[in-house]
Amino acid sequence: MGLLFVLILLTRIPGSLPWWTFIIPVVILGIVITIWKWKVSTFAMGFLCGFIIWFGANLYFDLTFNGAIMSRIGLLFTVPRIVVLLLSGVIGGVLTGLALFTGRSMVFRSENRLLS
Amino acid sequence: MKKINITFLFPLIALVSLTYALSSQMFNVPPLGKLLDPFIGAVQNEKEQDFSSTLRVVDKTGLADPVDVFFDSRHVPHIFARNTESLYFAQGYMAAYFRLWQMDFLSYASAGRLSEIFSEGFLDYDRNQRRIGILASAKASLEMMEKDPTTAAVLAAYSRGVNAYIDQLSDRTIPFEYKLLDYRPEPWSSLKSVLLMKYMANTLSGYEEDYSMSNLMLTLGEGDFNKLYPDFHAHITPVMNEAAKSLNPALAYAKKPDYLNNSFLFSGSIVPDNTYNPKLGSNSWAVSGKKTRSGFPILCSDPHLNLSLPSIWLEMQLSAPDVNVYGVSIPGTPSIIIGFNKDIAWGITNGADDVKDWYKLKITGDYRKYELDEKWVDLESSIEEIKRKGQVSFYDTVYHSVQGPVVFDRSFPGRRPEMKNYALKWELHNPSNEFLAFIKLNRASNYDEYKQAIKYYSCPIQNFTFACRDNTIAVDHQGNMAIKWAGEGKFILDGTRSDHIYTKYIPEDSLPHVLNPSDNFVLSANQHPTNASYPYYYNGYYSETRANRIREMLAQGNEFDIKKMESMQLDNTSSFSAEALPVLIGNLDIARLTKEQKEMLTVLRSWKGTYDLEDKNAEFFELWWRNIRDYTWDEIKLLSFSTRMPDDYVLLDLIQRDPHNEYFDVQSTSGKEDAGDIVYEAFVTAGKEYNKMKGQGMLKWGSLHKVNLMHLTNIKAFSSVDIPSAGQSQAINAVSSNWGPSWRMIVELGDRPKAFGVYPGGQSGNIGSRYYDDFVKDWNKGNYYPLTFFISKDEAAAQAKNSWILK
Repeated sequence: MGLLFVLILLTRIPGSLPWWTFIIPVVILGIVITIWKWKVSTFAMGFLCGFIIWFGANLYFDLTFNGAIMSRIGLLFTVPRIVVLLLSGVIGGVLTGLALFTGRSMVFRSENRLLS
Repeated sequence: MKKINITFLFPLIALVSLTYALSSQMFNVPPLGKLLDPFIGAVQNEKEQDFSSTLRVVDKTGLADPVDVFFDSRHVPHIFARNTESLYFAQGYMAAYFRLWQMDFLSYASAGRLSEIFSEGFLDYDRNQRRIGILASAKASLEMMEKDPTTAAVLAAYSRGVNAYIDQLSDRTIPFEYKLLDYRPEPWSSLKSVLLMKYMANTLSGYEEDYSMSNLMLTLGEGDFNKLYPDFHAHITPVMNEAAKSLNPALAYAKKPDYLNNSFLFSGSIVPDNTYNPKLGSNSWAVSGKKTRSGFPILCSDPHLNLSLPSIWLEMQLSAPDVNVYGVSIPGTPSIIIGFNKDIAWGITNGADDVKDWYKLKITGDYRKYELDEKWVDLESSIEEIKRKGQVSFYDTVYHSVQGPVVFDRSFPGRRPEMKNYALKWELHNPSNEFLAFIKLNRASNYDEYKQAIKYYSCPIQNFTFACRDNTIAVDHQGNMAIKWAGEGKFILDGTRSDHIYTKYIPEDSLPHVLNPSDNFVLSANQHPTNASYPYYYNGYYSETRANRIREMLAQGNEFDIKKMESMQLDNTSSFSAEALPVLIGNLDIARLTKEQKEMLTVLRSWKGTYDLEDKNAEFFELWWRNIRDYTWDEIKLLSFSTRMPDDYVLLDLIQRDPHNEYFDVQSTSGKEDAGDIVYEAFVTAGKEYNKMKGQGMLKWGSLHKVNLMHLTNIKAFSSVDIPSAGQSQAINAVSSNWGPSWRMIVELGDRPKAFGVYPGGQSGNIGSRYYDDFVKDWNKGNYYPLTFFISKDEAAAQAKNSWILK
């Protein structure tokens, strides 16, 4: 899981690549995990990791910069600010989980009988 | 090597589609993935610029000489440059730094390009903007401006500055609205600066009522028309108020033009409301040192505009070897528009003249030709391409006659379908170089230089008030005022006659103006520029109440100082209400009142026409007067076309001098009412409504009178709404729902100018910034900030909070 964190943060911090590029190394990690037969629930782990990064980073930046944008976005959708932050966490989580899962499903395993 | 499995296709497709959906704007939902990404999304815009450092270098601007920018505690930039080119470069850079999205967005709105940002909902708006000729006029003016080397250089330097700022933006740092609306800033150009000037000109000169005036003349007849809608009434305080010698008959009385008859004007369909606001005005006055405590002149200016966030104004100081000026600028355009330097101060108010006229054309069915002086002439056409986000462009064919563009035709009924096939002649269409006026005005040091500067100013017609530290005060009604025959332009004109097209202008030295009058003050507040003895015919949309009040206060007062001027600008008294109340009470039959009503009257009697926050009587008067207006003008409301009601002063005069006038007879009742009946009925109804409000605890003026400062997208979440406010549209403090004093400035000249000012907003256009709306509370409370004017760079360096170097 730590590996996942590092991978995602590495692609995001430079900020010169499009926002979705973190998905590619996550997919590759999904493939690698499955080949090495690590016993992990891929979607859940991916979701958790993505959620923590997105929600956590947004919260961190919102608090340190002390600005008003997240609250105003909240006003725009008539929800409290925390909902906006949680929503961002959900988005990050779903994307990361789905990416990891996609990676896993790209590898042929004996449990998948579709082609045989 | 394990085999690759095709079940991966399903999650892969899901992944790709989800990513795509979160990256793009779909069904009006912003791209949530991009927007909420913590590393480049909205939250990154919450980061304030690093102002704690005293030195900051912004590289790679390509500037020949470095520029120093000093910031004071309110984030006002004081720009000190070594030459003209770098000065305007820096102004462009700083304007973009504070307000890039605002100026970019307004340039799109002005040019009719909103369909490029919003994929739907703005096609009609864009078509209308192109058809009324804003973009074409901007291009024509730019062509003219580029022939003047000074203006061309300034505009080019300004654009380079803006572009230098844009170039250093990244996905992470682009302004929030771009992330929300899913587009990127485009490179700035001189044309965009011109478009912003035209945007202001449109706001200020876009109002006209030619169609409804024509209908009224036909429906009411000449006699009643002049009684109800006179060009001049008795309660005016003209800008130029020389003793009336002989009246100009064209101004004193509007004759019905011969060509205007029912077959000319098809007065059939209902006219939707005009969205322009004729009350969009301003106040400005100057007092000579002979009436001030310091012995030096004081100038005040508060322009009234639509109040928005961010504000249309941006405070700054510009200094270079040949200029040192402080004031407000319009982001996107170079120079200071209202402000002062060490020698002079100036203010601007809207001239409110009618410079927009419609001509009814006779066009052939195939739109090939139109009739002019009994001959058929070719109708020209041009094609406007309106690009749209995510769709193919829309191509609009716009026809032009010699008078101007045909705005509404069979393919575009727009907002005024009854004006189909009318051509628009608008002073805004004539190329002009307003920038040069301001460039020169910023550098002027005396009256002659001021006159030399403003002669470049042509549209819209504005009143410039002026004060110089040598104790000269002046006001000039400045712009292109056409020479018109009696009534020309007040009504719809006949497009088939070339003698209806005006081509000459009143010579510069005959324009209304005042210089050092004997009563030692000048004022302008959108009132009539002259009285009825002016030798030329003109018409417009003037407001008199504020001018009356300002004159009253300036004439009576003496020993003026800054504090007195502040209380004047914040004065909440409507001189109309103050004058009307005793008249109404005098016409009220007190015997018919109940005991309770008599008590209410006793309380109201003491009211002086003030609209303060805590005032409990203001609302009663508003209800009472509104009812009187509604009952009296019911005939006007029944007309098949929509029009504004006659002026309040006209109604007041009727009550006092002609109480048995037929207009007081309410159409829906069988009896015949007179003024006394109307006043009584209105009072009773107002009393009932007032009591109901009392029951709800909503009596104070501040709980009923709210002002809104809207973000340019009109999204409430980004705006400041429902702010309780004092003032009223007829008071000097003319705050009202969406408009009001957008800048309040007071300057006392002297060895060193002393100035105070405030605007409702903040320097920053970033909605996440602390400086987005930090001035609003103080503006609403009536507080002023001292304006720091640095005489030299050393002074700035010593006193500023922090500074940057642009190089």
